[in-house]
Amino acid sequence: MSLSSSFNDFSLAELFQLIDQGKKSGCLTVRTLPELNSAESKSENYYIWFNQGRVVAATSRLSGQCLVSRITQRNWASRVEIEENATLASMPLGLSLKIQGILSSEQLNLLFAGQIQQIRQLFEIQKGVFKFDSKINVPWREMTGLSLRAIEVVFMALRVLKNWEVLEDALPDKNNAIQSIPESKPQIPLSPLEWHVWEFAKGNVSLQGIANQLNQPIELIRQASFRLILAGLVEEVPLIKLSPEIEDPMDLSVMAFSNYGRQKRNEQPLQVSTAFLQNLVGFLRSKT
Amino acid sequence: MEILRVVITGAVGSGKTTFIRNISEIDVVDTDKRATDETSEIKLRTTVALDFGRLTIAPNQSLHLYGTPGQERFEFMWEILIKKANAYILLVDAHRPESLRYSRRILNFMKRQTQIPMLIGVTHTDCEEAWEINDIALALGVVKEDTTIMKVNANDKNSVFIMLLKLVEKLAESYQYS
Repeated sequence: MSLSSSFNDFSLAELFQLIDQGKKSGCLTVRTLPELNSAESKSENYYIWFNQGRVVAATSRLSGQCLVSRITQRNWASRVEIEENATLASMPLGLSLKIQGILSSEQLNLLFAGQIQQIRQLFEIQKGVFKFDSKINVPWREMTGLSLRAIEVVFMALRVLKNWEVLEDALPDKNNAIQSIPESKPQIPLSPLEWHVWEFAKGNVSLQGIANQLNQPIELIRQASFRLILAGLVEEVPLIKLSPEIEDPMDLSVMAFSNYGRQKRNEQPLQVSTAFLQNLVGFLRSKT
Repeated sequence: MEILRVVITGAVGSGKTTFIRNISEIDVVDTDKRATDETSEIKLRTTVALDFGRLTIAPNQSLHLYGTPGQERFEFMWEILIKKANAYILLVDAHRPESLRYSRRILNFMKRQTQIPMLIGVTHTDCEEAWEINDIALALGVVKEDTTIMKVNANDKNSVFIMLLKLVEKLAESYQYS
């Protein structure tokens, strides 16, 4: 089975989080879909490779020549030089050329930054589908030898994202709060705003409340909270509020919980006896 | 009369009504109505209040199953139902990734409301394009090993009973440590 969906149903940001947390390796194929109201818009494919949850390469073709083209376009080496020096089959091409003295570290950084930039632009695209395949070989010829955690790429992309439309449903609700996840610590540098928002992650202030206190637009607070959720630092939680007394809820729930309206908040459900549980286990076992 | 109350929750189309209907000894008291919104693209009828099913274990002991409505606008029912539950099951549809965000919200809501034993049941795992359980766990933000996530076929009695058995065993375990 492979991971597949559309941007609307499961965003690229959420997918990158999943790949990062699951330390997944494989190739993500992204197919952008043309915008209906734009004559120039057309469908394109992109390929992003991951190793243990880290981005290792990105291309727009499966020719195995994208990195070579980037190097030759910059006149850093000719195709002949590249082929003569890329001797090791199971080593990233960029690293191999660096060892041979053809490319410098700075040049490798620039090549990899170009690949990351290509990925960042995908986050702006509103319509697309993706498929992640973990049974694909490592694309040595498209790799610089550098890598970046998938979640770091997401942060870089989302901090400068202009169009949040496709992510609207994924953003936390302004009436909900955020709660920090115990024992989680930032493993990537947070921006000042993200730090400030994280300081409110106690589950007792709504995002709107945080926006008011920080004197920031609510959308920025929702976006920063979303990044913290993706980083695994917080969870979106409902604000705990006193529920209204329900004297006469629906007939069925009256039947189910006859004293519901009179129960105090946080009152624990009645425990059943151990004998009942033993009977129940016996009953269920007899049915399986 | 001793009653064990189990809440079955999940997004629209995750199999809650089927899960309960499949094993209840009484005709499930359901509040299904014809879906008139976007839900109709997934299923024709949807639960708007709750489903109720029952299993008699002994003359004075029974298991009650309550299915929550799957649509977001009936979220208020979650709180009503979970408050007196002894345990709950979150059903997640493996082949509709669009339901994962909502499932995660339900899970966070329930965890915030209660610490009772729970299981996550992944349904529709045999469908084309179904996601693997590990990926669903990641998408739900379930990374700790203390959350049990397992496949369940809501159409198969045996599978439903196995899941309930697992839940009751977990409940019994929690009693030992409480």
